[in-house]
Amino acid sequence: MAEKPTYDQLARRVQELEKESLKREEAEDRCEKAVSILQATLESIADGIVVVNRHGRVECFNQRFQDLCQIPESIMAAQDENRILGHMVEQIKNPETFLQKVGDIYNQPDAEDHDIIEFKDGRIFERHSLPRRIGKTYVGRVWRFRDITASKRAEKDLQERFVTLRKALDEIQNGRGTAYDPDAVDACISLFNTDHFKFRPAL
Amino acid sequence: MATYNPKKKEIDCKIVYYGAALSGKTTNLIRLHEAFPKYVTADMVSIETKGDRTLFFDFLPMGLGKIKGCEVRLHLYTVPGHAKYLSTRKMVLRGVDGLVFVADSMEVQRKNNMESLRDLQQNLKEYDLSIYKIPLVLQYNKRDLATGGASVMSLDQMEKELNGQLKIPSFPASAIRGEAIGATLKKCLKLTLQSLQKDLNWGA
Repeated sequence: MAEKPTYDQLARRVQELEKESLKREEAEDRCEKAVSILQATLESIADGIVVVNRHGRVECFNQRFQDLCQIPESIMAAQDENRILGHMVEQIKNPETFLQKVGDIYNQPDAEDHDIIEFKDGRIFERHSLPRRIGKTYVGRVWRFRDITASKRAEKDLQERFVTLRKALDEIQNGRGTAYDPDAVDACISLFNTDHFKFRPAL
Repeated sequence: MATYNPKKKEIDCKIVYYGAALSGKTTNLIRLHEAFPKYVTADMVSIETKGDRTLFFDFLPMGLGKIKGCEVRLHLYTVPGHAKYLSTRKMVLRGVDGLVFVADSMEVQRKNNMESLRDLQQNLKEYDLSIYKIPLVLQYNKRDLATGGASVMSLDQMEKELNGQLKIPSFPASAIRGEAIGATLKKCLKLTLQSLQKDLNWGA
């Protein structure tokens, strides 16, 4: 039978428990603070971010992600990545390709991946995926989405302008008249005057 | 993997209907939705291709009420059966707690059934799960076609070819008529909850 503890032993044990409790409270405070910093950081990012564990459960996300991908609250609340992907798939131009690529990423836990996603309504997103590890163990993935619709449109406009210019310059070089819009003519003159443009030597 | 919230006494578990293309997985969920409306907690979701074939999954949420003091919620999923959607099937399998393998009784689907079962075994293996250990039930679907004169495999043949090694519960069924769909799910659910009870030490 165990011996009955003395008053001093009990008092010491109470002191130890109080110290442990204090340490735990401090650790919880630190943890709460860290979570709050991380949450605020996550919310301040312009990209949509969602973190998923290896069982396909959503561990955290920022509001930007929900807004960008137009995911209803009920689906986010379910914390099920498949349902989120299912909702996205219905908005995407090439759902089969999108699913195939996501599936392939999950087949390579160490892979970092980047892709461009086009939506049916014309939006274009850049998608990044990074593995998440604790130590060396793979525990899930971080997905990042950025709306690049505006920059893609600007890039396309630039590309179109470049083609117009190229055609105009070729016409000039070949000694033919140009019937292009005044913008193209101004741009050509600017190339000669400001940028010291020279024709390529004739072959 | 089921989520168990001991504070709220809630448990969410995932059951996946697996099988070859056109075996009747989606039909099972449609009929369950119709037959057990009081357990269905939200509309069924189907992510389909233009040709009405499953592209990603069908999803049906059900609430079973309290079991051993715990609110049990079921998430029923199907996978796309077409062979080319291998990686998509694997994604749907993530976190699975229990499985119903829907086999097509039509003679012409014999090979596809076996390939699909092998595919399931391989996919489970990649998640460190064993087809011999996971809660799994077989459903021999489309038995109604036998009366219509179609070339249908006998139950003995299906048992031998698909369940010879597994030796798991099996049910002849007709999903289109709603026959044995409830019994199939009930058995799968029973096995799944027993397994979860052990794994999560829930209701002990």
